[in-house]
Amino acid sequence: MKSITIGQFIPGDSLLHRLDARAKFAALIFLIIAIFAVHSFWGYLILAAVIFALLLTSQIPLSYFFRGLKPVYYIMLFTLVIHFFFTKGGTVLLRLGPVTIETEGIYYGFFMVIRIVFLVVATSLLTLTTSPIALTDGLEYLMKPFSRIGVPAHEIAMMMTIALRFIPTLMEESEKIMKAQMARGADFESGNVYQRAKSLVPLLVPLFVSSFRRADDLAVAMEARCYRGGEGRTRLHEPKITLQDYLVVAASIALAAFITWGQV
Amino acid sequence: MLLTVENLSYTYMPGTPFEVKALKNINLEIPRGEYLAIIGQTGSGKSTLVQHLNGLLKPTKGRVLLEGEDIYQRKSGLKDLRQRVGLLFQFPEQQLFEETVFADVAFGPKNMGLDEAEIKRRVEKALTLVGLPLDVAQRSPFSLSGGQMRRVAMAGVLAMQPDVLILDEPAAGLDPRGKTEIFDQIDRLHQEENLTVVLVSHSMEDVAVRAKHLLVLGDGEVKHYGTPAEVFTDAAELEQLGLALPQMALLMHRLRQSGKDVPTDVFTVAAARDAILRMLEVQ
Repeated sequence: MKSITIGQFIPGDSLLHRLDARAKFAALIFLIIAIFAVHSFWGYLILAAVIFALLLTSQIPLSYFFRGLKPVYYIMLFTLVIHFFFTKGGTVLLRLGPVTIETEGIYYGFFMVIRIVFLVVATSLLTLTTSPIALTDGLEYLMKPFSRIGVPAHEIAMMMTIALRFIPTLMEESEKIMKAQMARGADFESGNVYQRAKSLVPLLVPLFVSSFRRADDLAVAMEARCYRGGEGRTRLHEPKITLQDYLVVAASIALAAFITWGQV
Repeated sequence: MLLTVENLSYTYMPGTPFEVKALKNINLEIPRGEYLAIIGQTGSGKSTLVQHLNGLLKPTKGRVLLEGEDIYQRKSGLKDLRQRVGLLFQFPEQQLFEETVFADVAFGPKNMGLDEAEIKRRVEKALTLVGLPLDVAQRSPFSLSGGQMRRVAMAGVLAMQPDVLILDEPAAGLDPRGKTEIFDQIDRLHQEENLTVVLVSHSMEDVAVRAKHLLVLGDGEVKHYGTPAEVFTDAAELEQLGLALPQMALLMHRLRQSGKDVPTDVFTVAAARDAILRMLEVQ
């Protein structure tokens, strides 16, 4: 559980930390477009250079990015195996009865894995350099145009803020309840899948109960302070877009355009 | 010796920027029949210390012995240890999960692999011990009051028939009456069931009258150890540790300072009245 880096923010004062969250969001979207548009390993080389440069500017220890990759190891492995066995084309490298491994399979397997790595690293660049508050604030701004067609931008952002705020609390609590049940002889580690799933009941029920109680308390506390949604709400810190932000977004658009239409 | 703690140190998240030395070289002996209170401010390491006693936390350095055997090297394993050293966490009512009170109290005994008849006998005995009527057994624990839920949780630990009962702030959040009731219950368990009790608290007032020995923790170190009267002789230092003397002990200290001949090991209003009357008679 300790390997979860989603929403983990490392404070700092790098160029990436100082950028406006909206600009980072927009730039990330174009970077992701570029990652999906790549056709060749040459394109990956360009992207790798860009992402590596960004990693260095972020001044965040590389180990945090590796930790972010940990949860997707299995997805990467799965992708690799599926492509090895089911993508056909090129020359046959290995034949085991009806099963063959062909060059195209190897090629696409690695191609997809690199894509996953780039996606995870690029997104963790955003979450590691942006505080959760700035992140949800930025999201709210970006979603505002859609509120005309009925998207509750403020409410979605508020829900995300609350969810992020309670992740550490829930982890702490589940650890405490787990220990309390272990003190009564509960065993969370051994047994088959069915037994293990069943052994989670003593953990999950108390966790649900307290989550509902907490949600209730929070709702009352918010209402007591006259919270009534986004309408007419002003903010304490108005984010400002600077020239830097425009430049970064422009650069990301240029990169995406180059990769997409340059056929690299 | 029932439980022995030897040179125990514990560090949270070692090797990271969040490293905290929670316990530093703790030595402690808990004989059978002991009533020990572990006292300290929030963050002094009390809860961390008791979680070592039943193997929920593994010492960074040092070891814990149950009847002279390292708890990690006993043949019967950690499950047996946790049955013998019962630990009730702070706000234990949050750990209830079953549909009925009976099933919840039976959770521990069931994990021990006892048969139905024995489980039933133990659950009923445990409920009686904590002072709950047997007709709550078939009700949902979530339909009970906070104080009753806490008793159910306590019964859940007692049903395993531990040798030692460790309670982490058992009276937290209870009103004065609930507080007295729960402490009286613990006293009764200690006297009638001959249970060894370890009580974790930040309030001298609550434990001074009851405990045989006090262990004062500050900053992860043992600052004082002894009978309540011994520990309370150094009032100034205790205050420095963020702990207040019981009101009556403080009164006796002040009287002593102004030259009156009164004992200082007085913790209740009744005992204080007697002591003052005696002093006046002598005069």
